[in-house]
Amino acid sequence: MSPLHLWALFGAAAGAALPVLIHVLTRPRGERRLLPTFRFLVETAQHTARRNRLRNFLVLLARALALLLLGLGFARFMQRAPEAAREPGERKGRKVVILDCSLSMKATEGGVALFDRARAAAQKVFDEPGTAEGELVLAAENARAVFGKTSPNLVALKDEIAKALARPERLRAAAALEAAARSLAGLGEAELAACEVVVVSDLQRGNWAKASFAPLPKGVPVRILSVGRDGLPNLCLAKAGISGLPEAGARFFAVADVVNYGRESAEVRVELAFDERAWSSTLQVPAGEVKSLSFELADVPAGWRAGRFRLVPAVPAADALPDDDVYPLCVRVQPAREIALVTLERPGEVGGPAYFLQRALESSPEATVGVARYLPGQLEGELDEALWNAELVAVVNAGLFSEAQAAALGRLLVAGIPVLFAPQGAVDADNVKILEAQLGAALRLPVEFQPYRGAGRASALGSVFAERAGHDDRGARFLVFADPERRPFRVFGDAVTRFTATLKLGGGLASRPRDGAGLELDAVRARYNDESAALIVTQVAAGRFGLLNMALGGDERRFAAHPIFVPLIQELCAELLDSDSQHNKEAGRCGQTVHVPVGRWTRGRARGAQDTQAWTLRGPDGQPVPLTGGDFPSLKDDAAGAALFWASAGRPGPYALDLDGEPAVRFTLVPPFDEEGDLSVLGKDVLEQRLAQDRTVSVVEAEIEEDSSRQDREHSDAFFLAALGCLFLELLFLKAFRT
Amino acid sequence: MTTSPRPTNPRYRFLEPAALQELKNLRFIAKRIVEGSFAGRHRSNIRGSSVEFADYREYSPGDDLRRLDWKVYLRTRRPYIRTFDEETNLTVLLAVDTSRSMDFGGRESRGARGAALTKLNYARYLAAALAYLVVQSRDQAGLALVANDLAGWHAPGSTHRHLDGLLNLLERAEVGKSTRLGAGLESLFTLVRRRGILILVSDFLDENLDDLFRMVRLYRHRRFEVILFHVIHPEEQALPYGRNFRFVDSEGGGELEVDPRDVEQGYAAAFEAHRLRVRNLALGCGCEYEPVETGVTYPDAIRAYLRVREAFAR
Repeated sequence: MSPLHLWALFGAAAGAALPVLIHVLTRPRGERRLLPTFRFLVETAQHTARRNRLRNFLVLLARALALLLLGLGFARFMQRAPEAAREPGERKGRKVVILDCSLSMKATEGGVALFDRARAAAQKVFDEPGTAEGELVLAAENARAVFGKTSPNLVALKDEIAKALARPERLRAAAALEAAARSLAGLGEAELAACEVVVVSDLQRGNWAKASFAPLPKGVPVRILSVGRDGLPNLCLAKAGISGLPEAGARFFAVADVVNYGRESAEVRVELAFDERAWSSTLQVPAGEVKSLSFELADVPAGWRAGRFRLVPAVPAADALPDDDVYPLCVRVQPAREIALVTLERPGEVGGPAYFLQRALESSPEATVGVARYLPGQLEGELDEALWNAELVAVVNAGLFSEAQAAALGRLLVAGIPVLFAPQGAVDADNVKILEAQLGAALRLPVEFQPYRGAGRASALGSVFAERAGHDDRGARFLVFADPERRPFRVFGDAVTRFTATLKLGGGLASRPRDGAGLELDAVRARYNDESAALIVTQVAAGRFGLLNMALGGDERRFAAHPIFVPLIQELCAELLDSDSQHNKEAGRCGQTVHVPVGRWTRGRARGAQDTQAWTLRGPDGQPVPLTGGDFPSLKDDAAGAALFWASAGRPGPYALDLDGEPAVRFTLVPPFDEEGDLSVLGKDVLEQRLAQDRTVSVVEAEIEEDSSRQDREHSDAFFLAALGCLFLELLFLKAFRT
Repeated sequence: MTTSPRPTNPRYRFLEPAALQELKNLRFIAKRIVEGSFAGRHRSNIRGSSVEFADYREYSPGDDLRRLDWKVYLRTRRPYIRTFDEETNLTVLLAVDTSRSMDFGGRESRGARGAALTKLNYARYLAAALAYLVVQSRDQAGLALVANDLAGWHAPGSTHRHLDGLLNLLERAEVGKSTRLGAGLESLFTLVRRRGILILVSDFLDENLDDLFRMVRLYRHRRFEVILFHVIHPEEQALPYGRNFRFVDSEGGGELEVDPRDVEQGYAAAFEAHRLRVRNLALGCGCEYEPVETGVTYPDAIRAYLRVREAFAR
């Protein structure tokens, strides 16, 4: 509570004393009247006189109290003078205000949203004396400048602030600062000296920790009005999705990660509504920890299914940002698992790599798996419908790909159908190159494959001949690394080293890291002792590409002979199938660019993206969303058919895209809960020193002023109400003592 | 008999010609047999020489032989004397309360000649008019001023000169202090030799009403006809309008500041209780009780009273 104005206190005291003074000074000096019947009056007035004195005292007390409270109320109301008025010398001529409109600004403290405080603080900036021109940058995932340059139309800017809303997006501080810098472009040094960039934000650590003020012209001071409050509690659904393969008749799980960003442990109820069924569970989430929760979903019919997770905190005060308590889900439940095996091996041929791979693929303990064989030639021309219906395409011993075959595989990948490629010989090194060439930037493997030379084989041609002659002369390789944290080796737990230590594998390809491959090497999940990649799993457009660089033959040096072969293939298969893009149709984050491939789900209906009349997109509220581009999504044709593009995705929730009235694809847009849920505030010194980069950055706790003002308003309201109550009490006294 | 009222002396403040004009046809008659000094219009209990035959009685030595009924004597050989009712004049004692409580006249009311219309002045007007009526009827009127004792006395008389003295006493009457009407009437009782009519004009704000009516009963026992005029001022009957007044006791000097709205009901009830008590006591003693409000002009009050009285006297 801030101190009161002395003069206001004096005023309140004087106000309270006023009725007493008035009563004493202007007490009606009763007109003197002789009354011969005085004794009758005395008899009557004796008991009423006491009553009247009590009434007068109570009425006077209520009246004095009312005036005292009114004085206090006005004292609170007029307590704060604008800071601008106190420091007129520091005001600049041009103000560029960056208003943080990210999701975290929806957090509330004491019933007041941070964004409301920010809005008020931003408007005050334009009210500061000496502000001639201004510009407003509404910053979230994308930054939008109102005019593009500073403008004297401050009224319009304040109007924009009043209309601005916090969006379900993260804040890209870099984009906002760049937008501010653009609005100051072209100004001379003298003009820049009179400029100031004012950032109004909650200074959420996740958004600002890597911010750089370098884009701003040097010499332009930056004032940051912080409306955030460190230590705001928040319970957040950081992530939700489907675990397991959502196949009809199979068990799979809806999982959610609940994060408690507060400083105290919190109890929360997690509710799941899915496919017209509901689940609920209560969790105790310790402070700063993540708790995962899963609900088993069984007997879910095939088709598109939607649902949502919802958090219900036991104590609402423990959740400052209720907007991140709902997480939509959208899943396509497959009727049965169909796998296409592309190989040159004949179906009856036993002992080949395709034979073992098919056996392993069919050995799913949970799902009914059908494996259909295709010749590589069937990938050319119009693809077979069954191929499009396949959930996974496995390629082994397929010979040298033609460009058309590689292109077909690429289309399948882009459309979201995962591909498992198991190179067996030197020709597959060329196949990988052809595939990379067809997919371009979409497929960029972290390693470069080449034929495995073995002992004394130097040329590719020689390796081909050697392969045809057999593998006996090749040296065996050992798996020296198998990522135990991720699939497919995660299933073996701590025993993975014991299993892999016994693997002596011949065949496959040799590889070496590609120049410049950094983080991409993370896709390598197993390596040989010669540093060649044994297993790569990477994302290609909407599909996943798995490259199992192991010979699958039947002898002791082949992987198929090893006990972990079948479970590892099953796990690898599940890893390729179990992708968000494959089942949990979470298309992307609000505000970001979203690409939803539709071709896989609409093939055969012969409708292109240009036939806009045939397509209908409905938003979370069931209302149609125009497919016109711009702020709205648009449909485009790509290699895998139509795809939906949305440069800056809109409201969160489930979306439904229909073609000719039939469901084409369902997807959800989700706010960046994991990035915006943590409401911790970046330290003032970090911004002013480490991130300032030779700029004058000052952080002002704008929220204190706003908060105090709010408290003052609340106190004033309370005082005014109490004063009103006193006046009402006075009326009651008068009524009660009425004679 | 109708006689025009004699012109009054302008110095008689409480005898107004206009009022006398209004009262010229009225008579103050006695309801009972009275005891007078002179022959007059009123029946006396004294057998005398009037023309009104009353009875026979046996002759006794010393009787006037002129009243011997010879016809009866010749028939019965026994002497009988004829007796006649003597018509005598009326003695009216006007007792005016001059206590301080009577010196209350409200705020604005004024008499016809500019005198503040206090209850005392109203009583003076009333007494002067009644005295004039009595003297005009050739009856005797006396005046007693009573407060805490007998403050003034003018013996009954029926001449205009006598009336002049009576009015002068009324003019000179001074306001007394407290009210002890009983003591005043007691003093008066010793001065009155003949019975007649006692008219007491007062507000009866006497704390010792029992003492007063003990004396009234004494008068009644002496066969006085007692008439009580209860003078009431409207502003004492109901408290004035307004927010706050400091009321001062006209006799005791006590003060009380009060909002009339708070006490008006209780006060009105107390006043009415007092008035009823006076009335009940008066009627209980066989007196006539006549409340008169100062808001009503005294000729009207007298006229109304006398007409009723005359009606009952028949």
